[in-house]
Amino acid sequence: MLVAGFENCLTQAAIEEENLVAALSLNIVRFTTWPEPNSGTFNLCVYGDNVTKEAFNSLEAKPLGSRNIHVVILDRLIGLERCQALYINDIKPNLLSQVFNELKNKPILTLGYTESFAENGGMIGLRKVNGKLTIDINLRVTNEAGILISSRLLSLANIVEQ
Amino acid sequence: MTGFKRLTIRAKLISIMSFTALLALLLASLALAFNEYLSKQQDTQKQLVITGDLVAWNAAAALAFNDVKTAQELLSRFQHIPSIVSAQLYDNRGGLFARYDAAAKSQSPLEIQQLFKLILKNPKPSPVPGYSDGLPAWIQEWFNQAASADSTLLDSKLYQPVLIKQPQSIHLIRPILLDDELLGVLEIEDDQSELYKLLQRFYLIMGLIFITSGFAIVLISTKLQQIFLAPLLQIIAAMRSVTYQQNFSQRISALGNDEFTEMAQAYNNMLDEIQERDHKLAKQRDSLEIEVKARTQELWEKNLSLNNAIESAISARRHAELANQAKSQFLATMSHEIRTPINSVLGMLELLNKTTLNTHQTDLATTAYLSGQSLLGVINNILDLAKIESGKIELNNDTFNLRTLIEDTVAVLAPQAYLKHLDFILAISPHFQATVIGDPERLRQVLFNLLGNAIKFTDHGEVSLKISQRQAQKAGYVQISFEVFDTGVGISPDKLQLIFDKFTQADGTITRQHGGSGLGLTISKQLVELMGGELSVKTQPLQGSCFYFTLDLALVNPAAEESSAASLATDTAACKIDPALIQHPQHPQLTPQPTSVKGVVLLVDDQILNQKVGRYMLQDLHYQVEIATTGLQAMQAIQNQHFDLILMDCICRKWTALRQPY
Repeated sequence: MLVAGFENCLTQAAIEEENLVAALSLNIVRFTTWPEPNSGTFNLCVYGDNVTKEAFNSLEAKPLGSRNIHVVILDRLIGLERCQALYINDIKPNLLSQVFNELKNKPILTLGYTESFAENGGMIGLRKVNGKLTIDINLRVTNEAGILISSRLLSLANIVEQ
Repeated sequence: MTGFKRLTIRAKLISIMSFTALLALLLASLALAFNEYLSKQQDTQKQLVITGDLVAWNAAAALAFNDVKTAQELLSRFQHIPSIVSAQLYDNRGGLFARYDAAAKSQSPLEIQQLFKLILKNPKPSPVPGYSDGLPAWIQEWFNQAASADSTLLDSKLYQPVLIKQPQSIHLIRPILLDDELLGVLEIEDDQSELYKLLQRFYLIMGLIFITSGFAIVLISTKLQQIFLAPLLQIIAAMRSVTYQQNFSQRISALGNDEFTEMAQAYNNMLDEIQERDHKLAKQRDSLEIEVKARTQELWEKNLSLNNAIESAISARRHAELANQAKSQFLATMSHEIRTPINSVLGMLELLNKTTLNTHQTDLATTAYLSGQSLLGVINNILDLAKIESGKIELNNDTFNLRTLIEDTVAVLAPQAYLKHLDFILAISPHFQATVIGDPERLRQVLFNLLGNAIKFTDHGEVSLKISQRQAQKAGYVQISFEVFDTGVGISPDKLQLIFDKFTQADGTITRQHGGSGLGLTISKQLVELMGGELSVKTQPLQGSCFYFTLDLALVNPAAEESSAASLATDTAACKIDPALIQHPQHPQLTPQPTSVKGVVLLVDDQILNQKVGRYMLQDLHYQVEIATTGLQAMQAIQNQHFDLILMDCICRKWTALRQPY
């Protein structure tokens, strides 16, 4: 099982936490609409440590509308245009700002499980509040990139300003 | 159905109209109610499904991001939908994620494992427990279609929403999916009592409408039937008044313009006819009564006059009978009174003739005597008839010789026949001898009358009396038949019945020509009847007549006469003369006695009797006689033989003497 015991996630091991994050990421992707026609494979690019890679690999071939998810593990942050979504973990803040800059106005959903990910220019940031994962969404960035977030997700998330 | 037939038309009409209308109403109501039920249920289900879709859609994110608070908030919105009793949201592991309970009493009918099984799409869907059990398959199909009508919103190959219907509620079990991945299950229980309440209210209204309409229909039918029945009842009333009150003058007034009016009109016409007929009948009856009275009166009068006529006729007859009797009585008693003086006159005349008288005196006396005789005969006849009619005549029973009596009678009349140049023949057997008992005078009178008449009415030819004898049926009696034959004037058939009547002769002129009282035949007939015979006549006008009768006479000495009677039993066919029996009364004892012949004489005469008379007379004079009946025979005889003398009758058939060559 990918998701197990949200209540206990703070006390779980890092793997289980990453699994949960991966599952949440999949759900977020599912509540998101891209501007270009959704044809071909959906590339979910993942940049992070091994635990993260391992957790996201489990999303390989998951259905997403009419498409299936293809998990692309990135060792270096290059060739990002092929990605529809990019999960970034364990990265230095200055490097992250550079990536955000590079991806500005491009329809690539950026996800991250770091502090102030959304406030720093990322689209959707996950963070743990009182042992519960909450979602931050930077609507300005998503709007600029032409990515629409479902109101159902928005109603559950925190909208952050940059 | 027989019950329905016994009803009145009124009840029939009402029931038919009401039944039809109510049936239509009932069917319409049922259809409406059923439709209402179905559409309401379908609406409820649709609403439930839509609500479920909405909640499921909204709950998907909450489930995806494990947001119990949001989910609970979402479910708590159901409080605005009063019909939803409870709702449960399960996560994909079967754990209760969020729940809503309006009355906190709801109990899910299914275990969570069952729910997960139900929402899985199977090639063969497992039957839903508690729902539509026992319903026909096509209804289930139909309901299932209705239930899954909105499941197109759920584009999933693996999962399906399910509706479970229970008596009081419907459960919607809806999978919550995200990209065909099961996030959780939503179960909503919708209370159907509200629907049923609604339906109940609807049915109540329908029922009220039904009952009100029913009343209205019955009312209207009752009114409507009057359209048909009112004229009918009017006609019936009119007919009753005719039947019970004999009121033929009542008519049905105008009703309208329909068939009933035609019927009423026909009925009125019928009444008119009947009334007219009644009038006619009454008139006829009256006139008939009058006529019957008149006829009865007439009959009575006729009857009366008839009775009078009968009475007068009876009295007249009585008078006539009395008068007739008196006349007969008078004549009978007068018999003696009349005869006595006449006998005296005749006696005196006879005595006078015996005295010495000169020729002239003798002639006068003889004439007076003959006239007296004649008068006496007439008077005797009249008196005899009167005696016979008054029943005063009595026959004598004397013994006499019949042959002598007959020959004497014939002998008395022979001169008269001679005077008229008639052949007068008595045909009687030479052996005939009979001494009988009877009234010889009366028998003589009858024969005298008959022979006298025959001679009187025969101008030429012959008169004969034939006597034949037969054995009578009674022992000691002999049956003698008397036949008087003539070749006289005869009697025409239409006069035949009159000749035996009194004072009648066949022709009135005959009396003048021949004289006579005309009583002879009448007296003879009555005398013959008195003697036990019957006088009959056979006649041919201008050819001759034959009077005949038969008498049974008692024999004085039966044994002696028996043989002669038997030998004389000959043909009794009346009025045929057997030449062998012929005798000449004038010369009964004359027989030829051949002696020396003086010469041969040929006698030519066509009358057999004349031939015989001539033969006997010539033979008596000792001549040989040859006979020829016709002139032709005479010629032949002359050629064959020599005759000394030929004697010819001056009138002879086939050449008379005047035309003979000699």
